[in-house]
Amino acid sequence: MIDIRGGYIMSNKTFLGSMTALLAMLLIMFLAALLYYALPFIWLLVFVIIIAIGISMGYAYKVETPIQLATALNDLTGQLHRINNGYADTLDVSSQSPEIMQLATEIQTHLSLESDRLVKEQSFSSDASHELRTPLSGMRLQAQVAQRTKDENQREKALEYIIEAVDRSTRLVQQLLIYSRLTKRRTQTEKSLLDMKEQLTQVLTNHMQNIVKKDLSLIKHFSEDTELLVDANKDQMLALLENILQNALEYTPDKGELRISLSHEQDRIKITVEDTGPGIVETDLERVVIPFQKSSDGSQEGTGLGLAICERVAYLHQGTMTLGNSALGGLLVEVTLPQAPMEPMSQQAG
Amino acid sequence: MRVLVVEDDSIIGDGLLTGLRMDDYAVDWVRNITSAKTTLATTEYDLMILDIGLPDGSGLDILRMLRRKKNDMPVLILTAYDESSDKIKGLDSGADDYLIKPFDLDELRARIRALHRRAKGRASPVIEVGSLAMDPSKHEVTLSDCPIKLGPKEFAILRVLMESSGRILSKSQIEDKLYGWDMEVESNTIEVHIHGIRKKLGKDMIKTIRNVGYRID
Repeated sequence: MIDIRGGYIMSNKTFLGSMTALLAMLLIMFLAALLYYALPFIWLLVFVIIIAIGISMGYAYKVETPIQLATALNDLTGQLHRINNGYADTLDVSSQSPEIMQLATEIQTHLSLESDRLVKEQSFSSDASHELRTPLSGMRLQAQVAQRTKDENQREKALEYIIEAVDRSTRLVQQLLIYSRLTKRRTQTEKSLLDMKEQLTQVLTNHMQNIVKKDLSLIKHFSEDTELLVDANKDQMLALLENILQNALEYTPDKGELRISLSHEQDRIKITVEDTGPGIVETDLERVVIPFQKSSDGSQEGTGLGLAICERVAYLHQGTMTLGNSALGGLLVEVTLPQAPMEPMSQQAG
Repeated sequence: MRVLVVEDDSIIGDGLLTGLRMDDYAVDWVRNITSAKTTLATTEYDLMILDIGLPDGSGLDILRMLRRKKNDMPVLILTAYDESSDKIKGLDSGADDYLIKPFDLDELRARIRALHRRAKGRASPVIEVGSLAMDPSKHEVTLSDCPIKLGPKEFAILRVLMESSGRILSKSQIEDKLYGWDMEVESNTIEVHIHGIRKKLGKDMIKTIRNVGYRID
């Protein structure tokens, strides 16, 4: 094979090889030039792509720019400020950020809990003031009767009524104080390990005089277990036992019966108190634990707070209180409380 | 005058009973709506003192029932609720007057007298029949401007007769206005007191209508 166009004679193979090398060289030179001149543009392209991905991701995950976040927080602060100053009572936040929305929801929940509490507190104080007016009216009226009557017996009776009205208001004021302290917190703090058998015996001893005076037969069923412990606030637990017993004593007629039992079921301690009083009508059982709600037959002479206190104490100790009608004919009060694990040594040390 | 007290609190209820009986009113006391309704259906009253917060409901229910039945008896509400809206609601339900607990017994007595005389169609506190005049608030009776001293029961009987002057009242009608359920009345008490009044006012003031009753005019 001879090339006649020039003096060069090449084999076909050699020609092709050199052409490839040349093309490769040209390509490399072209790419080098391109890289040299177009690099900024490529970086720009990469940057644009990243930004585009970022924005689209941002939409997908609702990420806000710092400026948007700052605006939303500012708005939230402004609204809270208005609420604190009494110009508004609810939040209206719209933000793309789930974190901000969660924050707003939590704040809103807190606000509505707070306003519920306030409404309850207001109606409680209004009820309490009405409740106090009753014994005060009685006192004033009977005092005027005592002033005006010429009958010595009538005067004596009026004075006795005045003393009764004073005692009743005193008891109401004490119960109001206990109840308002109980409603301040939602959980219990100052706790210690209490032996319920000991506490119940103590409260019963305090009332023994009354039990004897009314000639009641008292039947106690205390579980033989050595320790029925609860982790509880002592004052509150005493108030609970005191009020249940007081309630039973108040309504049980002379020569009646009082049945008190203390036992445990699995990890709960159960206290039941039954009496032979008039009991509570089925339809009123749920109502009488609300402060100042009287049973509809008008038999209530108490403060209207006793059972409300008991229920509140049970609630604060993760316990329950249920009312029912006893087989004895009167009221059945059942309180359950979580039993404390038995580690008396460590607790006593603290 | 016969008064019904509807009040659930025992100390206030007793105070009203005793306090108003000092004025020689016949006073009955019930503690809830159910008893009040039964009592109102069987006995005629001149006035009712009504507590609002009763154990079996609102006292206003009794009031509305009464007015629906066209009973015009004066009703005075006693209540612990002192909001203006509560007063308006009470008065608009048909009450004639309103007192807030705690209240003054003397003020209550004066209001009762005022409500009673309005119900009898009088505005003047003095009841006059011919030359006889009576001022219940001062416990005074005059005959031709001469003061007459009467015993408390005599005064009460004369008041009942003068308030219904021109009408014949039977012995039991007079007793009804003077004695509550739980008060013992001896069979000839009214006769004895009428005899006493006649001695002081002259024989012709109170007329006896044989087998029917008494009348003043």
